[in-house]
Amino acid sequence: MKAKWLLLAKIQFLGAFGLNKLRHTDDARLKRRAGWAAAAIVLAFAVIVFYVVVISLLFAEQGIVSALPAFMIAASSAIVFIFSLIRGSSMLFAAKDYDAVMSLPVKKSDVILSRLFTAYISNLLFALVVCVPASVVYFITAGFSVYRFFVILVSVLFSPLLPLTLATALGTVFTAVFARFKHKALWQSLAGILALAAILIASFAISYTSNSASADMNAVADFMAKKMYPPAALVSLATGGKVWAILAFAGANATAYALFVACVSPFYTKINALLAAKSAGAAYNEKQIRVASAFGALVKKEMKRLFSSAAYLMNSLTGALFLLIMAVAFLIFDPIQLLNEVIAAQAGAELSADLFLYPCAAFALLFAGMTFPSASSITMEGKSRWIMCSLPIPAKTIFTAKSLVGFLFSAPFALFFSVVVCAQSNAAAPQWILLLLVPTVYCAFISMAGTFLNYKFPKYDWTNETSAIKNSVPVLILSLGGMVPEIAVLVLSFMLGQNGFIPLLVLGGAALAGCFALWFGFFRRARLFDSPPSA
Amino acid sequence: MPQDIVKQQAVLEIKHFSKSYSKTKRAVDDLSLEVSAGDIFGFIGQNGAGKTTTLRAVTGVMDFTEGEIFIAGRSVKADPVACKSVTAYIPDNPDLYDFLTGVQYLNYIADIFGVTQADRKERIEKYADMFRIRGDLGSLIGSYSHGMKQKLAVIGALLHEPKLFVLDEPFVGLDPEAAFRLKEVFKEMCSKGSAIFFSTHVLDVAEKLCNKIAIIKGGKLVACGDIETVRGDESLESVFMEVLEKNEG
Repeated sequence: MKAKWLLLAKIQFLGAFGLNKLRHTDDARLKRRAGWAAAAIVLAFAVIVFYVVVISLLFAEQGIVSALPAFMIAASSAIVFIFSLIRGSSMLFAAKDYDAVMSLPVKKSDVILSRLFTAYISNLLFALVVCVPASVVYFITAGFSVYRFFVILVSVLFSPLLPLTLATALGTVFTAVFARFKHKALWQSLAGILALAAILIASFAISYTSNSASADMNAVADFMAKKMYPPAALVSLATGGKVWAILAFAGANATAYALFVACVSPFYTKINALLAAKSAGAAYNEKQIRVASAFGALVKKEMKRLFSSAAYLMNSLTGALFLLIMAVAFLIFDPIQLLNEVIAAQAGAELSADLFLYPCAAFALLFAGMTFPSASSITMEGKSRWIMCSLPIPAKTIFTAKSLVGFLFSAPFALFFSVVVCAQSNAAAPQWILLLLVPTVYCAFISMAGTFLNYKFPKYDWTNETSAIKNSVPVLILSLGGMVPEIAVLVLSFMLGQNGFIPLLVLGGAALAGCFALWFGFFRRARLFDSPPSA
Repeated sequence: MPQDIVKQQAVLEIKHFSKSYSKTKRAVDDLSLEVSAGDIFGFIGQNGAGKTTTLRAVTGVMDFTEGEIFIAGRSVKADPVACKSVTAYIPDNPDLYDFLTGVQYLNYIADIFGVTQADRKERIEKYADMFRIRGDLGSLIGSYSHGMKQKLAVIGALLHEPKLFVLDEPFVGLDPEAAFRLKEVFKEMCSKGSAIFFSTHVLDVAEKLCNKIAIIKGGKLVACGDIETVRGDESLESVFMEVLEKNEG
């Protein structure tokens, strides 16, 4: 007989990405769409693999390929930690199938284990995208041996456990602390984002002090492995021949995972009960009856949906809040002087404002591009979608309201960041125009594209908000696919110096064309229907 | 009473409507029927007979290609927004927005349908009192019981005084008093010239409440008309069983 947690996990996997539905349907349209989604995701993964290979080859070129395994583990662990913290504890608590699962003859630890295992597998897939190409480069350049293969295999398989556990534990603490608060979703999100910001600022501070001595690639790799993510140092020792180090690495990861399950199990039902408890609310009075326009009502409802879920809010706010934090930091510190100290001084040259300005604009696009609540906004309708589908409103109005909310969450922050950057670097008038227009257009495009992709790939039968927000096809396409041009523009704008505006203009122009294409090709023509009933 | 209503034009006309979910099975096959102003029309059938599919197509929630559906003379396919603006729909399990309070949900629906401040205030208070949930309107819908959600969905559906009220199993989950009130609302609406089209498994309710019924089996309409004509001297239950057996195989 299979372990019960495995059976629970199997049910979750069957629901993930609609794979089981796809397997058993004979709906050709659904299969065609899934094919396109798979192709887009594969393409995005291919580009990430390309970036990883380029970085790995740089390690080889610098003669520090021995540092590559520890670096790749540290980098993939950081990615797992950041994404898990953004997701918070939503995969553990307040699931729609909570009552159904808890009524089964299973232990609480089985339920927690099954949900964590599902998260582990999805994180492992991301870790593999980073680690497999890096490992191939490592084996080719450093030489293949069974021992090295064993070390890499064990470190990759175990590496997601610790960052996943740490991030989930932090999310669980926030969930428990704010469970009684009126606006618990908002508080949980702010706490999570502030924790993430604090960790990143602390990392930056450590790297800043360590870089004062040396800023070459060897130092960066050394810093990543030993200071930013200390367990990665064990991988470094293991590849150097210390067998105990890889056992210690695997043990530390597995122990953290097991400890978390053991610690949370006694409080699992309590936390869920706290989250399920609803306050009586304000007494009804006639002043609560207020008239608004149909569009205003749609936007207000979307906003309320966003602020009702910590996972949804945090996923939508993270990129924008990081831009805000960076903008405030740039207001307090002189960024030109700071960058001169960190980078330019190493090369003995003075940093030009252009070298700062254009990469900053690309940086704004990267973070604004991470803010796309519209990519889940249709899926989030879930079982209430009959309301949306039966309203006497053109689909374009509903889609515009959903896109507008995404735009309002990204554009103001991107613009504020751009204003600060322009002001601090004494930008010329054309640069002001460029830095204000391109992020605005790009935010509009991302918001509209999110709605479009969610319309094409809705998944209404979710039982856990996380699967709708983080693990859905439109979110994957937009987050992975978006990174491709965003990182390319960031790198090119830095490399091109005074001509760094060119990639920004190209991306801005493409985004504008995309907006028009989406408006005339989709928003104005789309009809909104429910998918066939599953029963 | 429905019988006393002066008949107007057809509020709902379904003409040769068919729907398939797969290549091999037709959920609904060439269904035609007509619901007039003042009708309380019961749509009866076994599980999986095609009732919900028909109701979802009527309300514009589900796409269809075969056949035509007209509401107040307008095509659901060609002019869905106009059709929806005179229709109200309540599915069998009305999941509402748990993150809104009752009154926020009602305001949302009223805003979408363009109901004035004075009208919405009067109707919300009238129906909230009738269904005894006025005191709960300030609470989150997530804290409501299934029956309370259903009552709220009914109030939301009544805010714009629809010409056509489409309900899927409306009496399941309602307490006896709320079920009685809903029947009273049906009669009041019909007296004002609206039409009710609802699916039900409860033959007793259909027999006592409806002036017209249709029986659907395996996606095909097997009986349709005035209840007296369909039933004759027998009970509706006997007729239903007889019709099903006759069409077996």
